Amino acid sequence: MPIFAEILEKLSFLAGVPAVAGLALTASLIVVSGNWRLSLLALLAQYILAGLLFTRLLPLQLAQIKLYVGVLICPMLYWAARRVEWTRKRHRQPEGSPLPPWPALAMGLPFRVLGMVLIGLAVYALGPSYPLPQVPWEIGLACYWLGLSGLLGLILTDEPFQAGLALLTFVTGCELFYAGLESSLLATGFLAIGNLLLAVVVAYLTVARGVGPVVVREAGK
Amino acid sequence: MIPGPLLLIVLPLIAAPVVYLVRRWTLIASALAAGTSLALGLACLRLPLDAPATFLGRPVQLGQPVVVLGRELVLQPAGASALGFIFVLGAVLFFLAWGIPQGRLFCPVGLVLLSAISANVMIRHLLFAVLALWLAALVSAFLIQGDRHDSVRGALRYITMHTLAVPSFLVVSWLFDLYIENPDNLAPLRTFAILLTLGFSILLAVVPFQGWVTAVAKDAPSLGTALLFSAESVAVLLLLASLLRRYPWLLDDPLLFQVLTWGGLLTVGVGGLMALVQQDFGHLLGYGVLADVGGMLMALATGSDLGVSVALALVGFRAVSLIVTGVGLSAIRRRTGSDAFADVGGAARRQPVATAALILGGLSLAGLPPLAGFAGRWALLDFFVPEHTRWCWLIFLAGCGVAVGYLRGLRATLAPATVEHEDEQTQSEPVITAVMIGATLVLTTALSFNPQPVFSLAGRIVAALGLPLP
Repeated sequence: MPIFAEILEKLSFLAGVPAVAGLALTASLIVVSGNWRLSLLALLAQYILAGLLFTRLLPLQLAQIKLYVGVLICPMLYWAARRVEWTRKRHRQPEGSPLPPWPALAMGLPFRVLGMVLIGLAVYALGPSYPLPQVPWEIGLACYWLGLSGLLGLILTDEPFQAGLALLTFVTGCELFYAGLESSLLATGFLAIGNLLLAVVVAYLTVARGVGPVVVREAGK
Repeated sequence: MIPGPLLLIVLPLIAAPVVYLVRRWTLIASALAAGTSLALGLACLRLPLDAPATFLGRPVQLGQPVVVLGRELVLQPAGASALGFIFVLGAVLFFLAWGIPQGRLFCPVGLVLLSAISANVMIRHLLFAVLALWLAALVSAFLIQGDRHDSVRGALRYITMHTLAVPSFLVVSWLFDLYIENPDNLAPLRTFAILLTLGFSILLAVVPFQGWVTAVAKDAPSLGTALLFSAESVAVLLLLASLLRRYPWLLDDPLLFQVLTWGGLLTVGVGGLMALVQQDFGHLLGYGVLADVGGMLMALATGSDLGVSVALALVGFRAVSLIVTGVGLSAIRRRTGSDAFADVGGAARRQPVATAALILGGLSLAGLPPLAGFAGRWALLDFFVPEHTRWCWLIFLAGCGVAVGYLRGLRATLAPATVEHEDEQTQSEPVITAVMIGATLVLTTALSFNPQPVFSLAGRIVAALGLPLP
């Protein structure tokens, strides 16, 4: 427990524009990247940076809860992705990654980068025109960036791992905004349970999607 | 003395792991889950709320409030009737899962789902009620996925849409708290209306947020579909009604009801039209439900007591239709391994009872006589005549679209068997399965001739709600 508090305290100088810039980068990586390790690392960094911003909106203990939840979610998803990879490699499947290649050229890297550029423009337009109440302007920008990036990620994929990361990004953005409105322990606890359950479901669906067909094929032989 | 809220939330949670442990013995697991659910359902419907009573030998008081971390949970008369319906429905579905297996997670996850829905109905604060519904949706992902390995689309869309609905309710809840502190400040009324409209539109699957309905209908075990589409509808309708009762000034902005009306019309149209052209029973079921949901939204949007009552009755009749078509669909999927029209050739000869249930349940969903769905559809049409004759035509045509879809399905089941199923022609349906399916067919027919129990339950809920509607 004190370790996280110390980390948050030592990194508190970042809890402003640098953290917001970092969140923009991590959210973009989650949407754009086709490498599951990189995406997951970006998610972990996103939770740490969001944890720093939470310290400006919530008491330190509640901000720590948000950080713990993020730190618990990443290993769950890592385990699920690794299991898919191991199973596929063991059964000599051509695709070892839980993130299959992008479905078509039209949805490939250039399209995703372009999508993120458009998200950047939308945030640039929305932030000053419709500032979010009860949160500092730079945190408002982070909320918009995370929320819109999450939505873009959800639109671009049907794969549970990628969609799950996008959904978690969207939820983080919304939670960051909501932390400025309400800081009760019960609400924070409920949201933490929801986040953990969401991650469990994403992990479960990732494994079902990635390992299931292999198991069925093996059973049929 | 055990307070009602504790009993309704904790007992299913205690039963769920036990049911999970005995999941291999289908009869025991089904009996345990159905018994728990039936006992709680009967308690909600029969026991008094304001006086002590005995439940399984223990003293309980269902109406006694419980405070958890400063938040009150209480079972009110409307909630008791609604939960009574949901638990009894759960009991029927868990029992049917004995003869028509729905996957190893159906009964235990179903119990957890019922517990979360109970919490949603009994929590008085909007924020926590919505978060309980979100948790219920997340748990449902396991029920939807079941033992499937080929697709995760239904579960993924379901959790995605329910997660996307949560933020708007979070902000609305904060605005409500502001309003309680300063009741004179009604300035953000439009913000309330927009956010509530968005949140409820997603939860009620108003077009264009309908994608999750068809995906769930395609992927989930069909009795799970019946549980989700019935229990969740009741919970969401109750949430909306309780909001309107507590904050009647929400009616000053007509946006929510306008969106429900036009969204309902669009949903009916899309459901009926798309049902006409489907090539598999899963999607057909989804669009049939969508057409029915559209009618429910239109009745709800009139804002009258009778309209809300008709909307709730439609959910009840839909539940019966879904059970009947669901048992048939499950049996056919189990034997054929698919529900596509191209693969079900010969099913009518192989599984005549299951095919009859599948088609008659679908026709009931379409609102055709003499089936249960007809009573609800007739009440809906009767409610809109004579002011909105054009709406009636749309609802009627949408019903025809669903009916034609199922008749196309019937033609596919009457076609010669595909090569891989030819050897199964001689195998008959297991007796227990046939008996269960037959019983649901009797139920739907009986309910069409005597629909009063459903209407009176819906009327009881509406009367207990005491809505401030005109």
